[in-house]
Amino acid sequence: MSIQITNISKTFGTFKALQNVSLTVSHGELVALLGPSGCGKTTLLRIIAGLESPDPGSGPVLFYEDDVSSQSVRQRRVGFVFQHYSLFRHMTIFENVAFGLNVRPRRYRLSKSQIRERVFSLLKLVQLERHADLYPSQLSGGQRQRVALVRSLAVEPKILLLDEPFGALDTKVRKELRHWLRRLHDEMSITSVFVTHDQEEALELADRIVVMNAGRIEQIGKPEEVYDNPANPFVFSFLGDVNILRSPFGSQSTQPSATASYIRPHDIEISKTALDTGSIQARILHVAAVGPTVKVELARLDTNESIQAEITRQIYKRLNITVGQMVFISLHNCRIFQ
Amino acid sequence: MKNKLPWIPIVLTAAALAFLGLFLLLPLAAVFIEAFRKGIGPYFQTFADPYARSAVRLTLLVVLTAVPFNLIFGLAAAWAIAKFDFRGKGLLLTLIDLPFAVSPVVSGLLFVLLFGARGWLGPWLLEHDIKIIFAAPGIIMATMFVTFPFIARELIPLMQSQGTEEEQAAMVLGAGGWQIFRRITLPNIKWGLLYGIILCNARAIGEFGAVSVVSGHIRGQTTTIPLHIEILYNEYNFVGAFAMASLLTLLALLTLAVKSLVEWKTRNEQAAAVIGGIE
Repeated sequence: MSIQITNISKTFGTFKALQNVSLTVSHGELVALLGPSGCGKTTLLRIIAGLESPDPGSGPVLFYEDDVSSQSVRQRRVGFVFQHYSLFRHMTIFENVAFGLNVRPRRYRLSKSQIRERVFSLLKLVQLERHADLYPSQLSGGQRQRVALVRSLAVEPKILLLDEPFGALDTKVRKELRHWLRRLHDEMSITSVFVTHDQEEALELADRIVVMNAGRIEQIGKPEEVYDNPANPFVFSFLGDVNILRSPFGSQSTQPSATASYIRPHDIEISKTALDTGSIQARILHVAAVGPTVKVELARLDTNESIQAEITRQIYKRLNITVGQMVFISLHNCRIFQ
Repeated sequence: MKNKLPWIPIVLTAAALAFLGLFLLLPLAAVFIEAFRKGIGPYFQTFADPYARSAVRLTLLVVLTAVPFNLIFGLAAAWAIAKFDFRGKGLLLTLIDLPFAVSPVVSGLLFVLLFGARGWLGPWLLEHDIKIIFAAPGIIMATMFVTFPFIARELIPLMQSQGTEEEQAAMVLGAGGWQIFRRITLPNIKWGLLYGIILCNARAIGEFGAVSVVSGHIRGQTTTIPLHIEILYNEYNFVGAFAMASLLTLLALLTLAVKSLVEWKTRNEQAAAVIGGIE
């Protein structure tokens, strides 16, 4: 096990940021801590790094079976990428990346030429070797992010922690950097944990996802596990768009029941005729045919509840539906929660 | 937008210039006119006087002890307040402002009350033959007290606005406390620090009130430049008084020049950072 934490709690004043959180990360894994803002994911990351200390009575933090709970940030030797990169503004890109190597005690310090070589090989890796003499303020957001990453990798950490690594970037740069981080992680044989509030990013990038809410872990699993088999309504709604239907499908009762059916828009099938006994009638309210999928808003005929459906362009063309039309809808992969 | 009353800016500018001329430029010119009233010879004779030389020496001694002291403690206080959270932070901030709030004369009296012959620590000091009041140590301490806020006050908002993320990043990369201070914190605050030192220095040279109370005005021993000017003036030695005053004035002008240079330099760096920061 690369990282193992047990029963970690953290309180800020009266606010419980983390409550009895336990987590194990294997060597070489890329794990996402996913949750809404204020759920404690960044606090957990900072506790792993040693930048925050957990409440007394919390369990230990282990790195490769070693208890590092009492070690300082400095001794833990993790790589940490801050949300706003925290590049040293008065140093050039070269000096930024070399910093971790230059502050080592003299006995362990590499020679000037070795440091130079290491820094340039890292800068080459992120295609910034021509920017070595520039200052952080002269780089774009994406370039700064890459500098922050190689700066943390320069000291060859076994564990890399990233706090919202792509949070401050625009969508296009985000997507590029995501693939690039995945490649880098695999090449370096490193254990990585990153914090994000973007479910798409977590689902696409991570080997495993830790879904967090209000200081607790709601579910841990592979992306397809948490997406297809959410443990509870929170995970279901946090991982993607969802319809929450208060009245059971197919029953004649219009009374709202204690349970609710959760279904994703793309699991709703629209047809001109009833497919089976589970199909019910609905009227089309609105169609948005822009983008890779067509978003259709419908109203159930029995309860008048509004339902969002997503269908492919091909199906949309074949069905040839228009606003106001009556259709049948049937549900696939519907989950019922209390 | 078209200005309907074109004379308004002209009148306002003229009024401002007249005010500045009357209250700043005229006195400034007067200092030098009075100092050279009897020619260049008497002007330079003032500085040949042993008492004048001793006053300059004492002032230098005061500045060279008070400013480094305030540099170290101002930095320490600003560092603690800006980068850490602790109980009593508000109280510490208030205490740092205290010398600004209290009249310098009162500050001087406080020291007399503490260290004077009839003060709280007076008998003990007398027993051990330590002279503070009516001696250089008292003057240095009073100056330190009065000039304490300058460096701390300059640094606190600057360090607070910079936050602690760069320091944290350095820590994660394995830097120790001293390395973080020398390589990260200090380079980021150097211009603010220099600005604070300049202000502190100017005030330490010119401090009159607090120093006057603790000095005892012993000629050749406990008079600083401002006190010496007062003595000369009271003796109707106007050339001498204004010659000494011209020395302080020149120092003030030099301070202003350095201050403007520092401000210009900081503004340029900030502008560069802002322009470069646009994505």
